[in-house]
Amino acid sequence: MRRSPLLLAAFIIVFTFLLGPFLIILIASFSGDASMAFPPKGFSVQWFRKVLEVRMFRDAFWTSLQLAVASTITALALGTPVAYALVRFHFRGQNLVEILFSLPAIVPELVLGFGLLQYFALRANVPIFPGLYFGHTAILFPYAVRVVSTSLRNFDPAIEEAAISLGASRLKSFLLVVMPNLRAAFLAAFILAFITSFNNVSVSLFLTGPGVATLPIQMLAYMEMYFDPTIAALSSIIIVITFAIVQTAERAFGISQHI
Amino acid sequence: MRQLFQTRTLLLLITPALLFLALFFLLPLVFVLADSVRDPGGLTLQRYGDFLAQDQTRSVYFRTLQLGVIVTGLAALMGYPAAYLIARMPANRRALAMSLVILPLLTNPVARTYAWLVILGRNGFFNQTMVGLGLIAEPIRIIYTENAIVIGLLQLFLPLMVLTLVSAMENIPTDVEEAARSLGAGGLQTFLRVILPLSADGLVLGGTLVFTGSITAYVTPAILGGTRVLMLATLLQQRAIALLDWSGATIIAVVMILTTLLINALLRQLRPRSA
Amino acid sequence: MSFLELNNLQVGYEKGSSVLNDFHMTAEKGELISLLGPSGCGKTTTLRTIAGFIEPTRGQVLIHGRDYTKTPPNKRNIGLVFQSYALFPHLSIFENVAFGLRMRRVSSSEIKKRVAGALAMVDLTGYENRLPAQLSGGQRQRVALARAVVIEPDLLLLDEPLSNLDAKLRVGMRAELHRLQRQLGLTAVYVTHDQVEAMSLSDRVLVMNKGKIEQEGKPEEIFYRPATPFVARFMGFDNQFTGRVKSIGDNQVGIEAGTYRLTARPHFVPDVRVGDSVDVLFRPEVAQLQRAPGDNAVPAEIVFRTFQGNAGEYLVRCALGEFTVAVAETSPSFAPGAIHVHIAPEHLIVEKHTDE
Repeated sequence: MRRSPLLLAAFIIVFTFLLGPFLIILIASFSGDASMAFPPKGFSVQWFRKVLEVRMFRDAFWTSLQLAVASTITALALGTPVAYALVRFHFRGQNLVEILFSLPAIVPELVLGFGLLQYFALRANVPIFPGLYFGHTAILFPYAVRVVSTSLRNFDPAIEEAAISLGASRLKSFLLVVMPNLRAAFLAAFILAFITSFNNVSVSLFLTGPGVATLPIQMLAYMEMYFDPTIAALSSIIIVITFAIVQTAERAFGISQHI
Repeated sequence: MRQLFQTRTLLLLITPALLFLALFFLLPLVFVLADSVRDPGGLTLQRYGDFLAQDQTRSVYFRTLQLGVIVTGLAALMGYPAAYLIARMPANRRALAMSLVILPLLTNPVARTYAWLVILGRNGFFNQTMVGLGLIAEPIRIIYTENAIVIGLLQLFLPLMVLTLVSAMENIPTDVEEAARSLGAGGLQTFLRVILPLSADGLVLGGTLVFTGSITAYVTPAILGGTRVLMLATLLQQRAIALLDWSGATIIAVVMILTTLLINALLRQLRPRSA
Repeated sequence: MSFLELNNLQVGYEKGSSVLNDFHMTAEKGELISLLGPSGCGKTTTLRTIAGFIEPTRGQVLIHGRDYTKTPPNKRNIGLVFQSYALFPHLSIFENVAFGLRMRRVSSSEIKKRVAGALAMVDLTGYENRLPAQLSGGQRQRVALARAVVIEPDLLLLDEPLSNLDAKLRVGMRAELHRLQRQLGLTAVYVTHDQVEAMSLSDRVLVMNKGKIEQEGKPEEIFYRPATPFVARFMGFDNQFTGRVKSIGDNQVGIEAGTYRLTARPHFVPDVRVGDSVDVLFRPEVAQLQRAPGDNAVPAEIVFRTFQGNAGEYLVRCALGEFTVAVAETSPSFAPGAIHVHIAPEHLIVEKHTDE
């Protein structure tokens, strides 16, 4: 199907549909007044200033950041050995393990959050932040395992065997020979997992408490009370940062291949 | 064939993660499942019956499924042309296109959905434009309707469908298409007879992801549907947090899991060749 | 006691068929042994068992008298050369070659000296700072070799190291390998499916099939005196027909095939009696086409001729079957039609008939 105008039109429509809203909200965040009318009347950066002033956003940002870093590192640390085991070994129950580690992507996050709330927070009296940490790490496993194992599969096992035959233990061989060559995959997995955790609502929804709220949850709370361009400004900041991260990652090592 | 020191190393590699998963993922789910059928008197499926019997819960459930189907269908329709073009692009442009397509997936869901509030609101972009162009007399209500939810979900899940389809189509060599054309097939024919069958695997996979994602989505229905148009996820939240009806919420949660797992299992059967 | 010994090896899947069953193999110090056979015959499995990547369910691997069967692969002092070279893509050539020495905690100055020596041996001095991606296939193979020998291994194991090289390069590298092995006096086990490679490099060849050794011996023995039909066919005895033993004498067998009588004077007379059914084999290269009839000549018809540059092949059909006859370019050309195929008695091998 060569450059059929119909296809091209469909393509443009799709892209406009996917990306247009982001542009619109960028424009709306510079609105001069508090109405959510479009096109916005006036031009002002007051809403951006407001975002930085609102205390609950700052706290929530911190919480989300710590949570994302902690859960991403855990998921990668625990998930990478699993990816290695799945790719380099053949064992009974391999299928089961694969399915198990992809379950967090299939099971609705909302239900996980609900479960964690009921049994960890309410009954076992585990404080909120650890509960969030457990839930987030769990949902990040599929990313870690999938991205790392894909890259590992494309890596010649003979190279590891060469290292081993020359005297390296399996662990040393992994650290010295495999990891340096999987750098792109690790970075991709890290970024994907980090963003997933940072943006997560479904798991965090039930696991919010006094003093512990993630940024998206705080945004929702704010929206229930006020309807002004502050959220638009915050959203714009987030969108621009996400865009920048993805584009940089793409240019640096082609992240889109690893998803 | 047993490679040297296999079992010991294997256990070491997998156990920590397995333990974590079992404790913090499987266990809560098992408890939720167990609770849903437990009663002071013993085991019961009564509450599932109630779920289907009550008008509100039943209608929310079916609406959720319905909207899921619509979103999936639209995603497939819109996704194919986009995925096709992207798959046939030269590598560097394709990378750029992909990195743009995945943006909605990686953006904060609140931010993303909020943008639709701005667009679909009474004085939002869409209404202003339509009135300005004289296409409609006065602003129409889109927020808090099913349409708004569909639009919001579509923007989120279309990239997922495109991603899976691009991956599937990359495996269709261009010469197969060219062969079809040289034998006389037109555009639509080539699509129906060559491309569609060969990418069917990707379509089913993408469809599964989009459908299950749509029926379990929370943020989009919460913001664009509010309490007026409830979906399964928002219903769950309402029962759990607003009404503190734990047992009711548990049932909804289990219905959610079971539906998702069922769909996954069914569609896995459909896939022409599973790994 | 041999330098390398594999005794009673059984290597296999948990249930059912083993890949190697009661496998025996020895190698003396300084020998180059080839494991020759088609894919799936177990030659690579044997190599990997010696290297330690596979643990045998039964049997022993002995090197220099020591039992290495349970030793992990990184503790065996073995040099491995892979088919895919398996160079470390992120390390320079120097670091690639130095890797084994670093694992052995050799001092920096010593490493420098030995790496330089190894690279000189393979003619790659000056390439120390390049990355594998910048080298050609042949160069990469030489780095792989240098990396394996610099650690002064007890044993050198090579797994089809030349298969990924183009034909011309392969011949050159073969000579290099041979020279290096001799120079360093390394005991080596070489796995290949290419019989020319095996013949030109080895002190001894083991022809393997389905996990068993079909024949083992010096290259000339295998080449001229294949012990089984499998080995014969593998060595290029492509033509075969069946006959009956008419007479047996000193080094001579009279064969009756169809209405024809042929005399065979094979290097070894098989264990047959008059009246037994036998398979008679010969190479395409030894058959001759001639116009006139004669002893050991069978009337035939030329079906097809292919031109292959400085050689050619005739496909001929006769009462005994279809044969390929290979000729040099300079030999007279025959037009399709009736001729005779003549095979000298020394070039026929006779074996007891099997239904393989």
